[in-house]
Amino acid sequence: MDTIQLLMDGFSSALSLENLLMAAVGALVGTFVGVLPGLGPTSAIAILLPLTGVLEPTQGIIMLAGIYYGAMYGGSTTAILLNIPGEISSVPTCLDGYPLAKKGKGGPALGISAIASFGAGVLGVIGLVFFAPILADQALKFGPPEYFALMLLALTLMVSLSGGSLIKSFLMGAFGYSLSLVGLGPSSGMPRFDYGVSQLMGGFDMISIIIGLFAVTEVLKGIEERRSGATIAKTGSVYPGKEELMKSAAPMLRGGLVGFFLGLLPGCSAAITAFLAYDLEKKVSKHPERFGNGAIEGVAAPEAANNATSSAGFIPLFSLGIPSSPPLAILLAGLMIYGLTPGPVLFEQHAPFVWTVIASMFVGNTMLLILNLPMVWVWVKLTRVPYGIMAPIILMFCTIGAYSVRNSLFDVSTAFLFGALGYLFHKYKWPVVPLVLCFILGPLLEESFIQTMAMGAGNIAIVWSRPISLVILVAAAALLVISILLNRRTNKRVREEQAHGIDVAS
Amino acid sequence: MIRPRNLPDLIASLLCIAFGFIVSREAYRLESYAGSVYVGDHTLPFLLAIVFVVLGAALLFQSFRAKIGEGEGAAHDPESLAGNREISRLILCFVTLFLYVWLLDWFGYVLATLLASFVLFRLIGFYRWLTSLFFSILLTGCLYVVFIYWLQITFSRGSFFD
Amino acid sequence: MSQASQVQEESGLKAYKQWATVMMSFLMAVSISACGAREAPPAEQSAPKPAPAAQAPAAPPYPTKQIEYIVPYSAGGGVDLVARATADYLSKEWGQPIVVVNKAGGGGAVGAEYALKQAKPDGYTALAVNVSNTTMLTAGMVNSPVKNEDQIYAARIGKGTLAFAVKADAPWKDFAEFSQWVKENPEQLTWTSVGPAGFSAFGVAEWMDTIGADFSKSRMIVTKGASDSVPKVAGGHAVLAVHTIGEIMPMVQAGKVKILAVSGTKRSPFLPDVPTAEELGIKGLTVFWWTGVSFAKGTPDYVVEKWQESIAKMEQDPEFAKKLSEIQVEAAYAKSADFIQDVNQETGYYTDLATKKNIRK
Repeated sequence: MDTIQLLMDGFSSALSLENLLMAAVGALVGTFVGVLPGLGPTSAIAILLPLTGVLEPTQGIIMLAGIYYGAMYGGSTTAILLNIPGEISSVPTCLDGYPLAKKGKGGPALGISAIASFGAGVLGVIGLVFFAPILADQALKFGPPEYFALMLLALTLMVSLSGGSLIKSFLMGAFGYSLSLVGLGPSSGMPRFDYGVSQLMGGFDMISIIIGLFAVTEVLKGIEERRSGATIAKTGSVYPGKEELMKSAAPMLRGGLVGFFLGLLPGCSAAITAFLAYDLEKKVSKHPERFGNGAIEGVAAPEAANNATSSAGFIPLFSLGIPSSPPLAILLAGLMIYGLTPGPVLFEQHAPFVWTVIASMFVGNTMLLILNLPMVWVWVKLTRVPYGIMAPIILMFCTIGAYSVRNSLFDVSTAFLFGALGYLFHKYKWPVVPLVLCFILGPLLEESFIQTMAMGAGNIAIVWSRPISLVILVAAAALLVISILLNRRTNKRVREEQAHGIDVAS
Repeated sequence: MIRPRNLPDLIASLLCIAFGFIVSREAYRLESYAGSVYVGDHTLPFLLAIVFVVLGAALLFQSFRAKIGEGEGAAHDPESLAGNREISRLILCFVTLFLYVWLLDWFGYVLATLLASFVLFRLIGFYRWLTSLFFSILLTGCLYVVFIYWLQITFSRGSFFD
Repeated sequence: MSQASQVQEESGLKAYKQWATVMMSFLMAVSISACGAREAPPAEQSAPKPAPAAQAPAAPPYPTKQIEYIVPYSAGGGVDLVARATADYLSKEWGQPIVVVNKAGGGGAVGAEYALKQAKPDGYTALAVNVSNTTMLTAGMVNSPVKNEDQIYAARIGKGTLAFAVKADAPWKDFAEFSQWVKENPEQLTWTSVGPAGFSAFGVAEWMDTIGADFSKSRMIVTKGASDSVPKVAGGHAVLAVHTIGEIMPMVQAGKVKILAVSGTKRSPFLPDVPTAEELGIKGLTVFWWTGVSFAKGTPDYVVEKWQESIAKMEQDPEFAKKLSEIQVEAAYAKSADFIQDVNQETGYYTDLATKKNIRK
């Protein structure tokens, strides 16, 4: 077959020493940057974009792509070990990864997350090789009403992520939405909630809020507890046992599929798919009450989903020139700087380039796995650094992470402010995850709503008159009912556990 | 003994209701820019305002009703766990961070980072003067090389040096 | 119990003392460095900063340090790519680093505000401007955050032609037929734009005004930008997308959308087969996209002159020309005086258009 032949050619050039080196450097730098709080793939690629001026196109793009999925992976390491998500899509990984680490199972959790990332990454690249044009076409069929229905579906997550009081969960969600409203209104173009402050016109940056709520809060919590080491001492073996592998195989596959198909849609970021995959696992599980207290499935599914999403994103990027997430938009800039306009023409005119990059993704994913399983020890060692040294370093990284996204000191203040808020939320048991989720979904929900209404000339019936959106709506309704029932059960179980004196993290 | 336990929730619920009114005011202002009464930039704020007020009221009600709520009791624990000393350190740490942001603008990245990390090392790690100084110089140096020199992140040059 | 609280109080006191010493040292360090900083610069500065009167004959050397080139959008857009190419060339030319800094948000207003109002007007902060964050912003908002008076437009660098794109299998044969359909069924037209005062909105409003169709009956679908809106047209969720050629090109090549016409007086070099609207009898479409560089009001003249000269030279550079054509932007140099005049004229025209079409708020 033609494709296979091209792919093989791609492999032979991807395996050249130089390109291998680039993939390795990219994966390493990406992992490193992903580990740092706040410095996610977007800022990593943006910062390193000027490097493209020095490198050959193929090498440059291989390296940038390596950074992209390396950062996706790296974010999960600190999420599991320190409860600090390096980037937004690792937030769901924290939910179960950190409790696992607390139980002394940090090693296997990291191992599973590496394997899940690898599996899903490969799945995504296979999809890219064989179905790119067909899938890209399907993604175009997703219009505003479908997105609106999808956002309503995602809203049902709030119920199951509440972890305690439903009222508090919804209030936090509403707070997250309100924060996302700050800035220019989509339909009028008028600033909202800006109160005359020019920085507020640009809205709050997602990264700075995440850094604040997770990283800074975690440091503040550490000060309060007067921690000596950054975290628990034992992490256990990195290589997960048979039982853990068995348990997480199915979640990995489900998470990978969810991540892959939703990842095709522009605007469906890895954060959203990771949350959805996590929730799906919780619904499918026979013991949903274990989630949030250290369920290995809760690490496998979102990790697989976020990596599948990042691979799937290359499909609309390469075949149609649509970047589906911010880091891909910057990667697109990288392509444009080289004069490589993505689109089907790219496949025709620059076939060797495209296939080398695709082949290097296989190579890069393998390399991530090889690098990361042994490297986990390095990260684990990192967490043994005395807290008094680690905390200021984390805070300084937070500063740079928050600043680098928009080069704005306002974002740094925002991060610190949300650090304090996050501390208060933690203290009085208000769940922060709904806030983060709604902050991510807010703009999409509102935009798709306004677009839908414009399409339907002010009639919302358009949402249930289109087949795809109708199916999603029905699924959302079903999920809502199931969530509420499950939530009741889980709450009951949690209360029982608490009665037994087990501390349940919220 | 019952009231104080619910006090945080009570305050929070009042804050939520107040926030609801702020949001609704903004929604009302935005309505004037929109072409339709139902669709526009004000729709979501308006719905959110309702959510805040209704759920805030529900929480208010709950905070009075719940006598010795099982989950609520736990909220009290961390406070007794952390003494006044920790609280004051927390606040100091926090003040330092905000001073840091302010200084970044004035002194430029290097000096501000040096000062702030020095204070933080002393505050959080209880290291001695020299140790803290050593760590902060090392940290600032590393950060400078990696981010400013190598990755070319442009921080403010510091207004004092212009 | 009492003992414990005493211990706690004591330790609290200790912590306070500790903090006090730390803060004292902090303050001392601050004040020392502040004094040092205040004392040091005058000696340095006295040389490059002579009395204002002496400035006219000999312009001081510029640039002597790193220049920040603010792009008020995120990396990857047309403005950003042109700015990066410019920064690349000028850093080599001048031997000083020019760093592109992306400050996105607020539709380009946040970065513009920073570069024009917060940064010092010393010529070391340049702003990448384009049609959206200048003339259209002023026209679309009664009280826009940045105005033409706040800045000195140093030079225009490039421009992009407006293209009207519809779904590839849309029933209209050419732009004239499409215009006729729109005139008859304005209520069925949905078009994409980043907002009511966005670039596309002005293009559509002008065109509908020209052909005599009712703009107020058509519906705008708000999108995040070209990468979001062209797929919507390709998927049949909106009828028309109006963007620059470069932004639509990938989807045209993918066969998902087709370009009915381009605006302007002559065909675009990138699309020689596509007719202009004028050829099809629709005259008076003037909206086009441009990008350039501007400085805050109060920036010394020699800075503006230096940029204007170097950019004029840059436009002759074959390497730079190649970069521009790769991102489908046409070179369109205009020197400061002409640029300012064009911008003012355009502002007046767009303000009229926006007022007439009820875009201005």
